[in-house]
Amino acid sequence: MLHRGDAVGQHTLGVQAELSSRGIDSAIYVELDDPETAAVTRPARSYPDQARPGDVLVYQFATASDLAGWLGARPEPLVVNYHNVTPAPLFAPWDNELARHQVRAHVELTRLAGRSTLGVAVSEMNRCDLVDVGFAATAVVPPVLPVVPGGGGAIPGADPDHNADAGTPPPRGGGRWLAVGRLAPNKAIEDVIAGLLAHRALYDAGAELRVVGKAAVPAYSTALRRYSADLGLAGAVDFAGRVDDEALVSAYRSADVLVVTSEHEGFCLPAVEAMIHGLPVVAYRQGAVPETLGGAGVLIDAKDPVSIAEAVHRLGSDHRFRADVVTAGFERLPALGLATAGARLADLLVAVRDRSGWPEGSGVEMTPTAPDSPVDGAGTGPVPAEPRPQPG
Amino acid sequence: MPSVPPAEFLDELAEAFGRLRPQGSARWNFAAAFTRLEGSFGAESGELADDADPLRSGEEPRAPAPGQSQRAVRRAADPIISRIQPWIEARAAEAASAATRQALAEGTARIDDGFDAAVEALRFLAARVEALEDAAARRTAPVEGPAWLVTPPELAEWVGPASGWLAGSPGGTVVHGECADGAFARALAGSGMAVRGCEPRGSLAWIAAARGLPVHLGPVPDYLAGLAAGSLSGLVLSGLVDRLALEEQVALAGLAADRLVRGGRVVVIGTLPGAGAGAPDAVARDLLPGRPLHPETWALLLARAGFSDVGRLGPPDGPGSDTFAVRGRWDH
Repeated sequence: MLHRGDAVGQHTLGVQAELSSRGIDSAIYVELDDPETAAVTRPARSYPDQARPGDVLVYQFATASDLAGWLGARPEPLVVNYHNVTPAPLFAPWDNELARHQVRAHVELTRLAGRSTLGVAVSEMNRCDLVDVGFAATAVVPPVLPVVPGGGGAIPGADPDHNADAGTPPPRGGGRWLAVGRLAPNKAIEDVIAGLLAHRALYDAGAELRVVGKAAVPAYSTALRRYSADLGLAGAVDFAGRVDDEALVSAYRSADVLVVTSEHEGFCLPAVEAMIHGLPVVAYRQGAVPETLGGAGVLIDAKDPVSIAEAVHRLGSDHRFRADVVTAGFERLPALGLATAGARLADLLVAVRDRSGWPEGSGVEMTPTAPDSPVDGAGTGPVPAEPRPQPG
Repeated sequence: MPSVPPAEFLDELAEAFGRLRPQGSARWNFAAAFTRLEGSFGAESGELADDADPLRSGEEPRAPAPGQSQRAVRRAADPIISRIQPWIEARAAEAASAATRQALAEGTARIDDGFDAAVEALRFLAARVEALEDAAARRTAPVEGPAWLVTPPELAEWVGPASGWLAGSPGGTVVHGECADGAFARALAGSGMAVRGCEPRGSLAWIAAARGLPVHLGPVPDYLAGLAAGSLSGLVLSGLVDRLALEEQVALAGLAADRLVRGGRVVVIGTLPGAGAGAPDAVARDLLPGRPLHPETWALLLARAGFSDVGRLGPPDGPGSDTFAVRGRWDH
């Protein structure tokens, strides 16, 4: 499905927009329709009748799907754009069906490795996942983000004026915490809630938390609400659910800190969004979070409630420190390459289509053990591998 | 600056959330084990690797070299035999390996069929277990955090009488559930007892822990259910005894009996029904499954659960109290 409201959906639409701007035809094929996007997608089963010579298939890989096997059997060059698969053990205690789905996704990714011309990951951490399962050619391209509403234009044109008091500590009492992301076990929202408990006990009895994100695992969402109530925080924790773009921007701008305690992150888009809006980030050092923050934000090595509370307290009480963190966030954005992500990805897709060798500075890496990596005589890098002949 | 609870309580905060998983406090994670099984041997895991079948190595069987055996030498000396012998041996080896492969394939097929059946059976079992877990997880109070609907009772006046009664317990741990901010439990500890608290309200448990009381965060019945039989020297029950459903109060009395060591002692501190200051408000009366019981009723429940020497703890000095205390001793 293509969901307009999630990161992968927005990325997919962004890639299409970039290709369109270059006069390159593209179409988005889906296994199942989402009524909100049905007008801009086509059923995957219709592709064989619409296939044309020179087509390149780009698979936005985020979960298990029957499309994987179908793509594996197609003859066209295949690029897997990998958005990360959460490890099954994180889901298993909450939803075994989802956990088995993650296992299947990992198997599908492994099977596509040998079939694919290129694997594109949104982070170095994700790229390592691709190498581990056998992708011969890999590259890192950040996700293509949409224009941020109210953000003054395309990112990373983060405008400090949009958060004029970005460096000002929050008023004593009533600090506003924010957590953004799907309510899924890997996000470990319970740790943010426990941190809030500690912060209210030690520093700010009026601190509150807003949790923005779709409830993805019912048992987990129920447990979070019950946990908040049991801790005495029912009135201090607001589960806002999924919100539209304007409400999300409003949430970032009205908060004093974004707290990230994920056990597994393939990129951590909320951290980027927070930096765009001048919101300091306190984050657990795990997964791709350090890679994305790149020194901006406050990274904590332990996410016990007191450590979280102390980190947030420092941001709230040290005006100079807070200003430095916010500034570091703004300065980090260009280095992420978000503004050029669409163009870079399009360049790679064109190279696959044209078999012209990887573009200068593309960042494509070939694994040393890849046995059949042809190299062109011009020395510009390996030529995209031949697609495998269609079985049978 | 308020005190920070010890690391054990911070771990306890995380454990408390873990107990909200569908599998509850069960240590063995069926779901994770089954998921690993699925990943290793499920239908999507791929084909058997070629090198797993030694009979598919493709090596040609070789005739013995001349000189390696008399029979080999004699055969080697016979030009006709020497020409056809390798062919015969190769054909014989092929026939033998074919027969072996066929037998193995049939056996493997039966093993595969059996394994597939086992996996399917486990999938069905997993689905049933998950349905049970989900049903159990959904069995919640009408509102979350029901303990917050009522104010913890004032217990200071019962420290003396309770300490006096519990002093007769054999050595060991005394648990106070619900310990609220830990003041009562710490007072008991001040008289020389080893006291632990159990409290479902996190912010109160935090205060208790910060004051040095070892605290379990969670519902008292769940906590007691997780203890070994005969593991407690003493037990003080307050707070929850005023709001549990009747069948849960009966069960609590039975659980108390089972968890006390022989000679162990129990104290139930309840709020007098209809008491002014301690009475639950209208919202609590509407939403809570139970109501405060009379001291005579608690005495009956303890006696029916098998406690001896059941009776009222002496009234505290001073003006009439909204609370009462009932005692009992476990002699079994």
